[in-house]
Amino acid sequence: MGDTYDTSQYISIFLSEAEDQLEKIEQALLELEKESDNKEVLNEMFRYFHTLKGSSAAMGFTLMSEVAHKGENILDKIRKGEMEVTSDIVDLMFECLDTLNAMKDMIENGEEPVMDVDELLEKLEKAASGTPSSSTDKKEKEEVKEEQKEEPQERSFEGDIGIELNEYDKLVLEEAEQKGLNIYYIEVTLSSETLMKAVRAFMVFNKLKEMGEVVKSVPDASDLEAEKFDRDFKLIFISKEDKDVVYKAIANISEIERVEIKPLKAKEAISGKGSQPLEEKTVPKEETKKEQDVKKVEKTAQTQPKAAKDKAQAKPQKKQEHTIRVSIEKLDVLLNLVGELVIDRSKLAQIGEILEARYKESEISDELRDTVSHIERIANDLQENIMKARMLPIGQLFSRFPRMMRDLSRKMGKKINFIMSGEDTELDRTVIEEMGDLLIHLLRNAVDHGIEPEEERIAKGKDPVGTIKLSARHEESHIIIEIEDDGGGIDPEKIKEAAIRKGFATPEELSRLSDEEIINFIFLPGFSSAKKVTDVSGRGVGLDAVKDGIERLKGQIEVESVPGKGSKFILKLPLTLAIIKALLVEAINITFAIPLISVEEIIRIKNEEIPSRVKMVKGHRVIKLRGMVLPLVSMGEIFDMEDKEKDPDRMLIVVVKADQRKLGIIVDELIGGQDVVIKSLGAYLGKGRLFGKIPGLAGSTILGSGKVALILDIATLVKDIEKKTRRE
Amino acid sequence: MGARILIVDDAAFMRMMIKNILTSNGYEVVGEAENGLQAVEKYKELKPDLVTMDITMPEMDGIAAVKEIKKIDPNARIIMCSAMGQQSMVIEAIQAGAKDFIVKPFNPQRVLEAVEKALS
Repeated sequence: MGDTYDTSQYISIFLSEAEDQLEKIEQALLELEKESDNKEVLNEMFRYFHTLKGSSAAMGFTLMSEVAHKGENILDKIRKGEMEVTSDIVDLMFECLDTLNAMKDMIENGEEPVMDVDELLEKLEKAASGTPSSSTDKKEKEEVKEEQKEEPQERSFEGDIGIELNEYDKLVLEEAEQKGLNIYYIEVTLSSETLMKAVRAFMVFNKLKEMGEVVKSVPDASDLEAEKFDRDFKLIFISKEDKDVVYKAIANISEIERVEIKPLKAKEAISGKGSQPLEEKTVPKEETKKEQDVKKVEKTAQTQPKAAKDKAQAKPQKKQEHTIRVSIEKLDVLLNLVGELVIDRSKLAQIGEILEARYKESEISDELRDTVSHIERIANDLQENIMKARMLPIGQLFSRFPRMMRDLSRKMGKKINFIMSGEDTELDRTVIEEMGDLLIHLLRNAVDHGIEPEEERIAKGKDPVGTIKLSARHEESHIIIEIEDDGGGIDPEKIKEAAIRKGFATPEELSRLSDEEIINFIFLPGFSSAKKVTDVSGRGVGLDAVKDGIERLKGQIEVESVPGKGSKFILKLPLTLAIIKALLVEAINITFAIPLISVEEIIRIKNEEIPSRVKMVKGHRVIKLRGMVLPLVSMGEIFDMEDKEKDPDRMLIVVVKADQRKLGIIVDELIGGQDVVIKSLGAYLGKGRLFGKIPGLAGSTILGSGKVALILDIATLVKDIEKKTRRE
Repeated sequence: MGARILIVDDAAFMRMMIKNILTSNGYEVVGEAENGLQAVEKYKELKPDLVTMDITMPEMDGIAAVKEIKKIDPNARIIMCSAMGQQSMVIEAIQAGAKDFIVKPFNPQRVLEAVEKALS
């Protein structure tokens, strides 16, 4: 029982790590393409390939490990300067990455990651060996490979020890020799699979410290600590112990592949084999530097072991995020429970009020009020923190776009500068998940329809390279995502043409619409202004699908466009789908919640003004608001129920907006703003898309009083009213 | 061979992983503990030849546990089980007297190498 459980747990860790690594590799590759000599990026990518190779092998995914290994070889060559970063190599590395990703996906789906990778492996090998021809020279290749393998181990120990010594070191060594201590030159190579190399190096230092003094190391202690070394480091060490003892002590540390120890005479170390010959002492330049050097060396030499000790103290100063992985379901359950708590909290507050009114003098009601307000604070904090725990930076989603844009720009032959910003903007996981496809669609659209072909841009006097910007930011309790291109923009005239041609509107109708409203035609189902269908944007699923998706997320999409200058799609989304800010109103004896995102304003009209302001047009009430005609509708009309107009002394209208269209909803009472937890209406009422049986409802919520409030779905309401008025 | 080992980790599946690796190679797992406090208690009780010690645990973390165990038995042999990115904590543990460390996810070869070397 335990066994299968274990493996699956193990796999999930492997997978989430692999996913992370593959993502980082992708980012690194994109950077490398721009900046082929960026050593840091190269090293980083090498490391990821390396880790992936190791962990996939540990999991028994040998094929995956082999692909990673071949990729690592190429990176190693580039790192050593034996190979150049060409666009072909980058393409090949991308191919390698795609294969690894595919294998990861297979593992994720519970399949064995077995696929035909012979071709890829051969290509990788060919690239690594630098021989362009194919299988005929396989032998040669093998030889080359062997040579590579031998190379690192074969590094000669004889000759130059490559450790620079200065006055202080020399002094220390000479003194040591006088005292009859042994001086050793030590070379340590860590095994290639070593994780946490810095710690291994520390362990070597730690061990040596017990037996003597490390005078010098290459790389120096701080570089070792920062893992700024490959696999080897060199030391000069003074000890009274025998060579064998020292050797054994180091060799007994795990993951040490090789230790070489050579006794040195002080003179040898200082002059003969040191890379800084004695003569140089007389060079004036050295002399001037001496003082400085000695100071520095004092620090290194005396505190070598201490420097290592400092690691432990220095490291925690760096910001370390301690994380654990928690399953999403657990968070969802927690959020649900908090939702219940929030409801009870309000209920408790109401009970408190009643009790307070009833037993005014009693102390106990004071205490109850205090407790209730405390619970309220805690429940609020709890809700906020759980919401935060569900938040992810949108960068997780954005991170896959640079690659996609690169591929698209290559495919379309359009040069594009893709700029992202606001990657650390956080929003709810569920929203992020749903956003992926929508953003892909909009980005493709920007490349395909937005950015003009290069010749056209040049002809227009624009920068031949198009710019597409993707940004995210918070605005109150919403997130705004913008996709902006500096392409041709949307021409309202072309939209008009298409609208007439496709029978969406008559010229007469169009003449009454503003440019803004006309541009919004692009969101209508079946409306596509592109003359040509390309395989990038495709046909059928158009912007209407994007709009639908965004509305399902309780968000809004708008477009701003200047012909010739470019377009900007603005997405406004709630931070979460679980809780919304709503305006509570009462009408037809029911409490309704109107999502605050759609509320524009609230108008009060005194009774005596009603006849002069409210007009009837084609049997529907309308009101003139700042020169615009606003259709009015009552809840009774929406839900086919009888309006019980309580002869109020005023008319209350909540103006809502969706799709650039406004609608006034007549209500009896305003109750106030509140965070409400959305509850689904269930399968029966909620059947079909968007609660098909009762259009206009997005769900329900339970209020503190225990009463149920219905949450309005403004987008469909506006659409419905529009349809009705058109028909008539 | 046949050394007696105490496994300390708050995750049951991690304990199971290590246990499988060790027992299938002839070691005897004499006990398991799921936090530092338990580890110290079990150490006193069982006097194992070797302890594998997770770092991040509730109640008492692995580093504190190493320090406690070392107080009881200065010759205790402890191997730290670390996740990636816990360098500084591993160093602290080694300063406190841990013999070696292994990094999750575990590679059986590495686990065995560490155990062998720590016992030698």
